[in-house]
Amino acid sequence: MKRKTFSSFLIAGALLAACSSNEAGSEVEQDSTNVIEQDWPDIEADAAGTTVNMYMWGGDENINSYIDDWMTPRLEENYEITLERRPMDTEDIIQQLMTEKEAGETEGQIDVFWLNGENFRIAKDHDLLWGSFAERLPNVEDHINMDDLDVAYDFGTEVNGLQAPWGQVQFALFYNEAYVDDPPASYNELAAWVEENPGRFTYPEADEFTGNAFVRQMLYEVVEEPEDLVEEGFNAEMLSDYEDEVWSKLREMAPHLWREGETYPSSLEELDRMYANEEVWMTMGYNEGRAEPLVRDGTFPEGTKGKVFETGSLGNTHYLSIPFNAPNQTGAMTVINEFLSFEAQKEKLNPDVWGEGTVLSSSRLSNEQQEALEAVERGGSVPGEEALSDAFRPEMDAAYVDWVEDYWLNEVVRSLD
Amino acid sequence: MKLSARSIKLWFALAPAFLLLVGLTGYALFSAVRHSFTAGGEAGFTVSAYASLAADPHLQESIRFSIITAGISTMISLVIGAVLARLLYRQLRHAKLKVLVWLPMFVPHFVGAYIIILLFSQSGLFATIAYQFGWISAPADFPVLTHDRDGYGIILTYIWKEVPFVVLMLLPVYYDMDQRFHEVVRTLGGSRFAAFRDVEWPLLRPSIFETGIILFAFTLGAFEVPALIGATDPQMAALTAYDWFYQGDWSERPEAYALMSALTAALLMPAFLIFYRARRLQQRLLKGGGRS
Repeated sequence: MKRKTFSSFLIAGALLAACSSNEAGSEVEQDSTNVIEQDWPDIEADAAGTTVNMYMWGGDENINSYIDDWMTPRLEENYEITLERRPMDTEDIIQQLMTEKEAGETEGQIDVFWLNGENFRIAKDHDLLWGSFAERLPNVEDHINMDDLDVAYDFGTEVNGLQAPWGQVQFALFYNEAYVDDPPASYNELAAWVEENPGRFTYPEADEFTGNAFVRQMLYEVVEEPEDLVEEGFNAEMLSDYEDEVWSKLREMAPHLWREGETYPSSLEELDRMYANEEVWMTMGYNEGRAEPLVRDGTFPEGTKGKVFETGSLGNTHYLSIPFNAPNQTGAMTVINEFLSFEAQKEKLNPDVWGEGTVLSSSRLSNEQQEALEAVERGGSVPGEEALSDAFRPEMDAAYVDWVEDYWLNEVVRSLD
Repeated sequence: MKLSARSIKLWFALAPAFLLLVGLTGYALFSAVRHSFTAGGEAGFTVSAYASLAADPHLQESIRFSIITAGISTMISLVIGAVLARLLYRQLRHAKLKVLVWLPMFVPHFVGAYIIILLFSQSGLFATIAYQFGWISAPADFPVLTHDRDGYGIILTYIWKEVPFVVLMLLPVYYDMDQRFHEVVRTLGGSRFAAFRDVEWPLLRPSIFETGIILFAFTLGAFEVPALIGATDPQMAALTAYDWFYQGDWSERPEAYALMSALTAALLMPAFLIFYRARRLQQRLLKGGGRS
């Protein structure tokens, strides 16, 4: 769940106000170049026997057990590193780092954390990240091209090696085959479908991660020159030509949605619950493989199938990063490198484990490795590899996220009044 | 007044809790207020955040909705709680029965909200039962009581969570009540209502006001219950503040701080007034001053 109790907000506010000090900055920078420039075997040797604290969202049992039951013993065995996973939402991690930065705290608690999108932009803008370490990792050097567009830019913000790609996901709809014969392949088709099947579709609120992506992805269908969306960054002028079309499409859809569009699920979990109850016939998600474990454990109906819109499916990469005040920098680098190993990425692809796409570029893998990846059975609810790659569209500037958040409520929900 | 050894000891004993309260809550409040007046930091003192609150018509709608929802659920909880306490206070002397009232207190509010969803939503238990019995022709005909735009779901959740709280707050009043007053009224020919009006109500009133303001303040600033069971729009004020606070580019943080500061101030003033009055009332009653 994205939202937390309000008390944490107040406490965070209190901590935020702590006095600031800038003296520590230059020291840390010096330090980071020194460590980054070391030879890799020295880094690994230095990391041996240490503890690495990894902070990340903890809401998915499969992901947690991939880290606790598969990766943690592996790190212990290969590097004598003790990995401690600590669940925390990324917003809170950023908040904590911000507070520590302002308080001049040069030694924090976080060594590695899961980062991407807007949070990366905030972290980069406020110098919360340690340094340009990604290209120093042997597994990045061997298997990943950091200049590829889908890893070089994170929601339009240049990565500069401040974070290392960890996984890749694409936006998909999931529908119940028992009720839906011919799933819509575009927003236009979806609009026609909801008209024929009133009350059987809805999407999460636009200030929620998945709901926001659902609305944002529509830009790829509406904008005539989709390349502009990525290449030009946030372009308010271009947007003014298309925004009306986005909002009016959603407004037209609204009366045919669940609850006549009077209200929307406040989270993806809420939508999933209704889908599992067969109250609605479709759910969605920013991970083409996410339905598979849920189908297997019986939460989702057996006839669940995935579909990406042919007019474009948003894809994004998420990363692992090291904060400016990580107490164990060499340990953090060693751990991240291990997460990017072929074995770790292949394990992650397995739907019983996590079911998430790899970041290793196939052109940089051996033939055997490629075959091994293809041999992983991703499951019946995951859209085909070809459909996925044909529809793939890189994520656009993070300012579009704010744009959707700012306008959706007024343009779509309140316009019903 | 000279401090006695006993009261010095008391202050020492209270110091850790007091420091925690002032340190965390007080400091949080202070810095929220400070941020609300600096609008991002560069400009120095400014009321621009408050000005933009005042100019936001949707915020006014959201505050109106918060006040109505909190007000209604507080009133209903107080009435039901007071009636239950009156009817059950003799039975509730038994520790075993008292546990029944305590139990709902252990359920966290968000779990309470989920329970309401499981029971009252259109795919919930009651809708299913009503449909099975043929009282409604489709589960979707069940009245919309969760995620609804009128706040029924929020109100239902708070009623079931707060009634036991009201009962527990009022029980001590009944236990301390001198039963001979009842007898006096009755022997003088007063009705049962007169006994309630002249004996119980004056003793209950301070506690009812106190409990009411606690509930109202708690519900007005509530976050997790409306987040779970509320509609997309209208939104309770705490959710609006939260959304502003976590807006991607942090540009609306001053407004979030301003909104929470304003709500806090608006609650603290009546709270002080009522506590002050309740204290005085209680003192007078204890001294035997009779009706106020």
